[in-house]
Amino acid sequence: MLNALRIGLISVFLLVSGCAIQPVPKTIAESEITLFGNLKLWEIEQISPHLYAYRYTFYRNFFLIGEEGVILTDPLNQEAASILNQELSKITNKPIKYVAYSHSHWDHISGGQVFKDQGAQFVAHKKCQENWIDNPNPNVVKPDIVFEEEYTISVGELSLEMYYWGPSHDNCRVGLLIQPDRIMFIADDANPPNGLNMIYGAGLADTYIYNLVPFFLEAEKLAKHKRVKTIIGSHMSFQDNPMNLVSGTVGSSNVIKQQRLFYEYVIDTVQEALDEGITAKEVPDYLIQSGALKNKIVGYDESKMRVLYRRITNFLITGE
Amino acid sequence: MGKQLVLFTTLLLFASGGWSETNIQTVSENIYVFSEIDNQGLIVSGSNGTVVIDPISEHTAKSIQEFLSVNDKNAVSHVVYTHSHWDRISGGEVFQKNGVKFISQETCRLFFEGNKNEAVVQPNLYFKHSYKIALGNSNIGLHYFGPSHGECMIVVHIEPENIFFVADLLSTNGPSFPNDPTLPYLRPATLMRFFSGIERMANQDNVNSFIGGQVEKNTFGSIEYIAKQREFWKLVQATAEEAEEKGNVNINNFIDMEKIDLEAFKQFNNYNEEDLSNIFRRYTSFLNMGR
Repeated sequence: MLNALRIGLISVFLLVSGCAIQPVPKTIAESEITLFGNLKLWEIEQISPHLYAYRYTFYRNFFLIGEEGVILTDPLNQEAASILNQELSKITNKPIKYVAYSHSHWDHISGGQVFKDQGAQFVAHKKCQENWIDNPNPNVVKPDIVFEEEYTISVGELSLEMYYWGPSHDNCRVGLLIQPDRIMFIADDANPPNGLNMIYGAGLADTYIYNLVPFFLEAEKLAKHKRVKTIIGSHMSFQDNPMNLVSGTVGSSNVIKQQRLFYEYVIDTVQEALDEGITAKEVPDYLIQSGALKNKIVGYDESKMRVLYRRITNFLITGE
Repeated sequence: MGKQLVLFTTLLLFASGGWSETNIQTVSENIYVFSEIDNQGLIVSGSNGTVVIDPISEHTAKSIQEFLSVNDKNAVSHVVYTHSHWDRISGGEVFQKNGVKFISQETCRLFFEGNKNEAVVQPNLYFKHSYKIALGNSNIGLHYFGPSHGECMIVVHIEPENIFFVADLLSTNGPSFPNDPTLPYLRPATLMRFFSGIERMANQDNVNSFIGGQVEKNTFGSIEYIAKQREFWKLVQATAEEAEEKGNVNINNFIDMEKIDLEAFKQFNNYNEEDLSNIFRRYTSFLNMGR
């Protein structure tokens, strides 16, 4: 009785304080091969009774096992997909119904043929399909279903909602919402534990900078509307400093807001420098020397920031 | 061999109260190159109207307006945007009046509508592949070969002078390293299509020279530079592919430069090893992502 009261009080406290209890992923299978340190080449973690995350090297997807079958996301690459296929057969005998693509980049979505051969239908945003027509890759299974704004795939009581909020990281990335778990996934950004972590690709290749902040605002709006408290990271990340790698499988959905703030801070900081009359060529060095954002960006890396400042300066001058 | 164009007049106009200057040079009877700081655009004045290609800024647009008036040229009838970058195409409001066409390739719409800038007049005419402007004694062809420098850069073909205007990716000084080695706008997946498209058109129409979008020592570049510049990008991609295959790419996607034969790159203008490292970095990303 006392325990029940204690748990109840803690729950009320967490609810009032705005904190949410995050699921604790449990490793159910892992590679015997070590990538480095204690990190295995791959691992499968169970997040809820029907939701699993699969990490291969630094990449991660997730899958849902419902009454009517399995929904997979981003097959990653041929080897990763082959391993997942083998491990999946140990977890369930349900058919693979769908493979959902988060965006068009090959390093996330190659290798799906092994699932296509089992009859899975592949789902992607329409613009991803156009990208693969522009630059085909035999290792990328073409989508059977394309959509423009929203699309939902279901396997019985479980579903995956796919939302398009305009170009962001490539021109077809979608936000994914897992139901009924109310957990989100945004490929390549918003990786737990902190959306203010230094980003990997500071040159923002294939990124539509003008729509990054609006994209994350829409994701935040959805998270609020659907009462999402948790996000799955599509990549491993780090805690406090880049040398301290962490799995980043799940984290607070607040990471979405942090990711938006990351981009807002950088854009606003560069704009302020330009407004002060600093020339475009001088902006990166000026901001590095002044220590701008050093205390806001976690794992601040001067060489990466120099590239990022240069990229944002170009964006503010050209609009692209 | 086509007729070699000769630069024969230079006019200099200063903006009242402005710190920068617009330089306008005569290229032929109907073509003028104007520039502001590093960027340059074109005026093509014909018997039926005048086309401004990339007005650059309000200040430059006013200088162009004054130049046309002083020299008794036709008023501006068309403003062509070679691509969506604001630093090339701002200031068109100076020419905005009934009937003036602001023309852009269709794909630019994404940026014009998604990221509006008050200094940029929105196009009122979009085209997909090609568009022709007839000015009586001059014809201007606008051609799109797919994403290259940004998503929507076009090539302008001016006749009867039979020259191209290419706003970016080419230097009139010869095949070169890019100005910005981080390649913020480069579209590697379709870049070769862009180059082969221009080369094909140059062959078909016997085009011998081009004018670029940046102020450089030479106003005209030889058409042969296009194939050589294509070779530069081909070499970059092949080197990045080889480095990937040999495992010479680190976790941050940078190539181990000590394992690269740099000799072939030294023939290109503005060779710089550090720049090359950044260029490769974009290409290793491209090879991973497909974009």
